[in-house]
Amino acid sequence: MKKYFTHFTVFCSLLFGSFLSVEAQQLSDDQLKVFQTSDLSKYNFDIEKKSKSLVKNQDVLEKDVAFKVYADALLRISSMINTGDFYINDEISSYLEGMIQKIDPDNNPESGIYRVLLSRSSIPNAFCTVDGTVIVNIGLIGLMENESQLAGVLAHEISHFKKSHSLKQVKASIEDSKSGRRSYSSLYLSMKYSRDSEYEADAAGLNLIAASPFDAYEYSKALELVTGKNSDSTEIDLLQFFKSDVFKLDTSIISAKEVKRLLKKSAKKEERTLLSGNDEMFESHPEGQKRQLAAGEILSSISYVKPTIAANDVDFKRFQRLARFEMVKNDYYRADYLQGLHNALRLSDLYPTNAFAKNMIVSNLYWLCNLKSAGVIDDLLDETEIRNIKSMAQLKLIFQETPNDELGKFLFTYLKKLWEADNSNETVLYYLASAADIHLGKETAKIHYKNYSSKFPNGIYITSVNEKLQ
Amino acid sequence: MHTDSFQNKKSELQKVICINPTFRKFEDTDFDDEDYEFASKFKQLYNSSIEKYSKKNKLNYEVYSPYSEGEKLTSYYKDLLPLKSAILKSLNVQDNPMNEVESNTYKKEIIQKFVVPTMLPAELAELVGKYDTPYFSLVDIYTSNGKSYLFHVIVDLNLGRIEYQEIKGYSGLVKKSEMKMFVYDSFYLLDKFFKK
Repeated sequence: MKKYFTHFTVFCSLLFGSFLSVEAQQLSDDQLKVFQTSDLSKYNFDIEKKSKSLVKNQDVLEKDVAFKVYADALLRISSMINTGDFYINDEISSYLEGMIQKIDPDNNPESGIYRVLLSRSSIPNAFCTVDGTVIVNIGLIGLMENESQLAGVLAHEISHFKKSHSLKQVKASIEDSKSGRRSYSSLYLSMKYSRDSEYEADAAGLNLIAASPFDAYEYSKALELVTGKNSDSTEIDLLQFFKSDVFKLDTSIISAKEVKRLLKKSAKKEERTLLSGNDEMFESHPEGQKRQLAAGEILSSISYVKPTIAANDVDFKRFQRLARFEMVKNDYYRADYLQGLHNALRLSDLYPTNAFAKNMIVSNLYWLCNLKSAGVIDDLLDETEIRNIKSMAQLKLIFQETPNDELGKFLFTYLKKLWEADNSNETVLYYLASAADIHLGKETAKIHYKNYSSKFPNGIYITSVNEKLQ
Repeated sequence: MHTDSFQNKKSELQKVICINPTFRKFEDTDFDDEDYEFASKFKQLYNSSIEKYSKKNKLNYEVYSPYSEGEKLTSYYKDLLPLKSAILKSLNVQDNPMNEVESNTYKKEIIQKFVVPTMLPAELAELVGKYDTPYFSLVDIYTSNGKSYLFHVIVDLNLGRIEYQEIKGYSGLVKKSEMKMFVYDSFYLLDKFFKK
């Protein structure tokens, strides 16, 4: 959870306006809508007042301790809101709140409904904070295959809240502490849920789903997807992308052995998602499998029968599509270029004629090559999570091991080919000029900058281009 | 630190949009009254200080924050928060106290000019027309390990880069009485920078 708070960066909706000219042709009016409302109380609240109110509704911790835990959590949420980590007044948050209403009709007793904050992170994750705020990463929406899987994840997370797992774990940590009391916030932020808590949340979550309109059998599949057990849907064919007459990818860099080594190393390093708890991915009987078996047992024990009325996936499909585009935008703006490139390639596979997806490939690829050229790519690569996705591991290895000049060659020829195929795309021309600037020298770059200046005198990059031409 | 060309741009700085001037703490310490004061009452004062002291130094900073009203408030949430994120993230890749908060090994070097200015997505230029200025700013105070750091960053969205960056360290936690001095000093320095 600490990593969530400290690594939680965010970005995007800005691009609604900025890409409208290109993307409007592809998405028409299908943009993530933001409600125009003067009621921003969900995002702008009195921390002290809210904390005092929450203290009254719990009986796990001493009042003064509870107040500090709630106030700290709310302070951190407020801080995240005001650094742009979340979407504001967006339609997906409303949709998720409606979904939680169906899952738990009793709702959060404090506020009447759970508050959902949609974060800009591409990591497929969600969690419920100690005050009942459900934080859902847009990456989760993009990964889930249907509404029932998403509902399963939400049911699990609100079950942690309903069972007061966070508060109980703080209490246990305080009681166990041998070297004196640590700060409450450090306890709250550093803890993961115990194995027992995860199983309990599974059971409670499944019971909620079983009584809802959603399909509880999808819960196991959701678990598989979130824990990265089944990453097939997220894999991409990199050999096809890096195929070039000029550049020859050294495939020994991305051999099965090297990829496996990196996946194993990354799995140990990367924190488990809160949904997966303490999974050990490479044990012979991984925890995830046990949880899936347990889920099956629970459904048998309650003689669960799948709902006869099919879930309405129309809204879900639309939000899933929007989420996938948003993920790519967010990755780029938060400078997660490796993940951005991977997600953009995947997006392009899903929507082959979409110009935005192509432009995002170009932008992310350019920045990766730029950082490599400047000798500062290692930190970025080190921070990027692989999440058991083979093609992510391959991409990381390619940018780690391929010599700088080879990557530069690939970048320039790739962009040139794109430009020759479509000379109306100003993004491609701009980055072609920028790539030439780095890899071929200023004189070659000037040719392309001049070309941009003449073809796109009112283009979005024109100020930057004019400065280069001075 | 600044870009080569920024020193000559005082006349262009007719308006600078300042995005939610903030106090942030980084330690894992308990929430206490001081945090609450920072979180609400102090923040409002800090916001108004930015506008006041920028004007005293002949700069026009317009603050957008959760304390703004009407259209400004909507714009803050819709456009400027994502922009602030982008700027913070770009700062993340630099060597600065924010990235050294745990090890506390930040070495204060005096570097006059950016060798390679921190770049932002060029596509952000779309905001320039809407806000009638390419200049956006962060003026934030961060505290960690008993020290405070003021970050004063100005970006030019037309060029897609950070044009000016001041990071000032202060030994101790900034108190209310010292906050004004901290802020005034930052704008005074900026005004002096343009006069060189």
